Amino acid sequence: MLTLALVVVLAPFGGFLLQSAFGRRLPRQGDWLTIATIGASFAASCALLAKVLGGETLDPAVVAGARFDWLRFGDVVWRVGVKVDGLTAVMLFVVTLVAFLVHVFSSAYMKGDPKYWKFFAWLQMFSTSMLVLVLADNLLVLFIGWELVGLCSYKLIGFWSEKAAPGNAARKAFITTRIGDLGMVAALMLVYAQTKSFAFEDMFRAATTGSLDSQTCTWASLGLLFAAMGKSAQFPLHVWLPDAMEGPTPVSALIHAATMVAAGVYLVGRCYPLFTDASLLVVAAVGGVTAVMAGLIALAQDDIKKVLAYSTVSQLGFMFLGLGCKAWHAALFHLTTHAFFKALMFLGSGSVIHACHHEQDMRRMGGLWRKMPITGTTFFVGVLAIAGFPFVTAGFYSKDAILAGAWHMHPALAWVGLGAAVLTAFYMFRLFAMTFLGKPKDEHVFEHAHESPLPMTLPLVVLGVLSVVAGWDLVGWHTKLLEPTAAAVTSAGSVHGHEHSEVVMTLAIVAGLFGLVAGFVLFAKTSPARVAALKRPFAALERAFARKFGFDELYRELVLRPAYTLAKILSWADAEGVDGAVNGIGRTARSASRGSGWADAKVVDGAVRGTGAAVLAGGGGLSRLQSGRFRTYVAAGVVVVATVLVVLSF
Amino acid sequence: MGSNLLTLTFLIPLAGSLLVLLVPKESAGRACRWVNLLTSLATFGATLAVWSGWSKHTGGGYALVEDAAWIKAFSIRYHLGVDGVSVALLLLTSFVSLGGSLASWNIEKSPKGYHSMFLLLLGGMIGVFMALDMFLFYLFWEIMLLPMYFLIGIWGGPRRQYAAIKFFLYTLAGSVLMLAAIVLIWIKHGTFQIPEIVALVKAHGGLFGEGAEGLRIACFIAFFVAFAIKVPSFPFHTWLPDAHVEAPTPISMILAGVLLKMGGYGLIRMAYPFFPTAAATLGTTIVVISLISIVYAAFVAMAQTDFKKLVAYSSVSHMGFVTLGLASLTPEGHNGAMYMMLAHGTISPMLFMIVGVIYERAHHRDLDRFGGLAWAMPTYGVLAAFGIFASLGLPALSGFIAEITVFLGSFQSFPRLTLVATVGMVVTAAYYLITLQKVYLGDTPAVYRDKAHYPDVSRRELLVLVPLAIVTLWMGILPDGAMSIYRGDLEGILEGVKAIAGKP
Repeated sequence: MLTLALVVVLAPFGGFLLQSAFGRRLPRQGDWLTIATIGASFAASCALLAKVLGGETLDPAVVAGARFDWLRFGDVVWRVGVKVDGLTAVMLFVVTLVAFLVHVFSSAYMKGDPKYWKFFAWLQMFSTSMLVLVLADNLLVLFIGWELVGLCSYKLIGFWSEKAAPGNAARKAFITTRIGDLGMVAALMLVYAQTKSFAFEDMFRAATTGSLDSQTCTWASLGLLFAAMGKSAQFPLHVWLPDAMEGPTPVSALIHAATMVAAGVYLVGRCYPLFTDASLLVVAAVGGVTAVMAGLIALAQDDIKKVLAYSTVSQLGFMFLGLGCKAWHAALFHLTTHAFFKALMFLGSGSVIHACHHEQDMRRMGGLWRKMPITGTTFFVGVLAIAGFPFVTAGFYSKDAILAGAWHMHPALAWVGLGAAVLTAFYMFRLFAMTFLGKPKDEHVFEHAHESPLPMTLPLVVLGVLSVVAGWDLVGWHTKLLEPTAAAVTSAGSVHGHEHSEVVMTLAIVAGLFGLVAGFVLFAKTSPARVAALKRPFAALERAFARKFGFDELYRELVLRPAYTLAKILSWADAEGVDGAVNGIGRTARSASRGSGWADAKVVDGAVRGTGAAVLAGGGGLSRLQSGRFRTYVAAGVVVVATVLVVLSF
Repeated sequence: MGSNLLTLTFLIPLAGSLLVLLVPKESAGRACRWVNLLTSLATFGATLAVWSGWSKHTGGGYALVEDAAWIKAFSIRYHLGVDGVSVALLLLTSFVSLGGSLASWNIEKSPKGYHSMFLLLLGGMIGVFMALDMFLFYLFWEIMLLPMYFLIGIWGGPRRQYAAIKFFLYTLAGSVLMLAAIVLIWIKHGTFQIPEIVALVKAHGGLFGEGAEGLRIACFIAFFVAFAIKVPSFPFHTWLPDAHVEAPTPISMILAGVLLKMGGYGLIRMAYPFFPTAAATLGTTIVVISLISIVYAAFVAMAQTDFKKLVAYSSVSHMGFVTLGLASLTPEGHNGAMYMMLAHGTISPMLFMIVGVIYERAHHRDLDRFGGLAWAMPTYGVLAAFGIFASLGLPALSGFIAEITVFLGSFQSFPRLTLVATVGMVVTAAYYLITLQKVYLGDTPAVYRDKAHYPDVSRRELLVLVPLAIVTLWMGILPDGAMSIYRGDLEGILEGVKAIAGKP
């Protein structure tokens, strides 16, 4: 298993190295090479999955060579290694599969880009980092992977940073997530100070035996949550994700929908034993608020990718809601189904954007289903899945499980979730109707639209199938992979994984269908003029949604501007205050030495001239050195040295 | 032992320095730089030999010791020796100087003087890291001051004289304090020998005898200020931005890469082991100073428009980690502080070279006038991004290891203050990414598209940058390699400090 785990992560790393070094000169700029390496990684992930299904795990405490001594301090050794359990196996499968499909998709989508080879190199580096994050057996290496995916995200959002907008978006993403990372560093410090270890098993043992007291656990877990909120774009650190849509669409699908942004959910899921009831309540609150808030904003967006981005934020909020409600299994389950249907819809939107010559405004689309049957159909499957269309789609099962958990915790939380579910179904159908149904709104765009080539449609079909079947317990996906892990990480009795409450299920079905039908009636069956008339009373609300509740402006005024001002003030204070004091002292000393040390200066001056001349033989700078001011300074300096030497000799 | 390897190691650059002066004037430029390069190379080789000699040494303590009476009247001895801490810094010194020597290739103005000074500086720095007699230490400390002063004052930018004087006087002020403390120790205990003094501290629980805590604190402060000026710590840092802005590129590399480390070295070698109780008493003060250095300098860096000044302030910010880690008195903190010296010692020369590359082409360093250089000079862009990410503490690069270990160490002793210091991580990311975007991303102004005036990095520039990048990467992925050189001895020093400081 160790070998397989190493293949999983080293194949794309090798791909990154080769692609960076030779990609540009290879035939087809090396895209086939990277597809092959990520394919190998996927194959190894499947093999690992099979082994885990067979009951094996890779426990670094047991398997020789799965861990090595990385660093040591005093008696403390930092050991790092790889760990594979049910959760890891599921994550590896999802990450490598989506990464593979995105590579294939990109080979058509990015065709003709001047930096084509570089794009694949960074996709490989991203895959490597993400896999490091998932395979790590300790929090420190997880953090390393965590930061490296952030780097790749930065590079890929800013892939077209010849223009200003992608550059700004990339910077915003990196810095916002880094604010979250402060929480991770705090958690690392808190846990390490007490346990002197980062290994998950040591941390969890300390948490369960009580050698990590519950207050420390609460603070550490809140730190982790804060980091997760940065990475997974949860309120109030969600602002970077919509901007990140400046990156190429395959990147949005892979990094900003399926994998990296889900890393926050993975982090909380992985470190679950550290979370106390108090911190779980915060997790649930953050998730609930985010799910509803992002859903509302998504209602009023017209850029197809922005709608999907806010939908991602909202769905991630759902997962946090589930985690906070102790529905661990449900949340991680939703992570996998969401990865499939959201990657599907992002790649679908990529297919549309590709067909419409980089038009992203849905107000200029419409009627595209006819022109793009595969894209349209698979997209529709994705819409049904995210809306939780009952009994068929994967999204139904995972969302229902979260709602059941929330209901169990407190019905109010479930109502929040249900509200978000209605919004989800509604705005997703709005997106679908504006893009694929109705009459074309822009003849020119419609005219040029065409179905995308096979490398783009094939991933859509695969993901479409997965968006349905991932809900079933195929090959023991739940019973053998997620549930055992859930049992291991959550204390007995507090888990209610698959417990279906009929009330909740009914409510979930009603919510999903209500949203879909409302969307259908309003956006497919009602004339635009009538919709506009209906919306009029809510104009103020719509403006608030469209402006994203003003978070960007708020942060600009409350964080960015004060930070820049502070920087300016401190810079001024440094020059005028701190340095001014130094110069003041210098001036005083100089006038003092001028007054008293005239004779000394004469003597010393000669000495300086002598040394200078000796050392600088051949140097032309000497004449410059003899300007008066300089001489005074040197004199003053040498006087001090001389005085000291005199003192010394007594 | 009978080995003269250490003497040889610092004599090589001094001999080179004299050799440069003998070069006939007509062929000065070419010949001098070759002499410089070969001497630097030989010095690097010598430090490798020191490393190997040290690693064969068993039984702890100092290796390759040379000890002879020198000025008997004052019991001053010619006493050299190295432990792991010195070996690591010697390797850093000769390695960075090798890069600096290559970066000095295009010095046109009086090359004889320049290269001679350069090698004199190298000799002085090497001496500092192996002197075991405090007087000798002081001598080397002053020896390297002089060439640095001339290198900035003659070969520097427009305000070079001001910067050189400031550097000189500032360091001198620190030296005077240090000298006073050294003399005081000598008066009281009659020795300048560092190992002897440490043994005295161990035997009697502190210098100056019972009840002299006030004196010990005063002496510690004197040492601390002397070294904090060099580090430099807030509020003694203002000489650094000026010195960097005016210094020629290779001198900035050495200034940031090696000279600042002498401050940290002095703290490790003398201030802490000589006065453990004072160090513990003043722990919180030192942490506050470090914290201000880290966060304050990061904010000041954010407001800079001169690329080089920005990198200079980032040095102040990063070197704050050194004092923060030392103040924690934990193995993680001390090892991390030393690791920061090595990491910063390779990353900051890289960044100064990166600034130098573009300054040489554009003749300005105004951040607001650059743009899109990553497209105009692709290799340069990649290396610059590498340096910037290394400096902002990206994992898998050396700066990350240093920062995280210092944090983990200092949190154990000063949890709240350490949490405040982590804010520096965000500010650092902010100013570096703003810089990256301003200079390298975005649209390329037409001037910089001119291939004739803005060629990509030359082979010589690559030769300077790539080795530094490789070391940064290696130290980030397999940190134990570098750390194992100094860990044993550093932890020994820390044990000694803690054994005394732990007593009430």
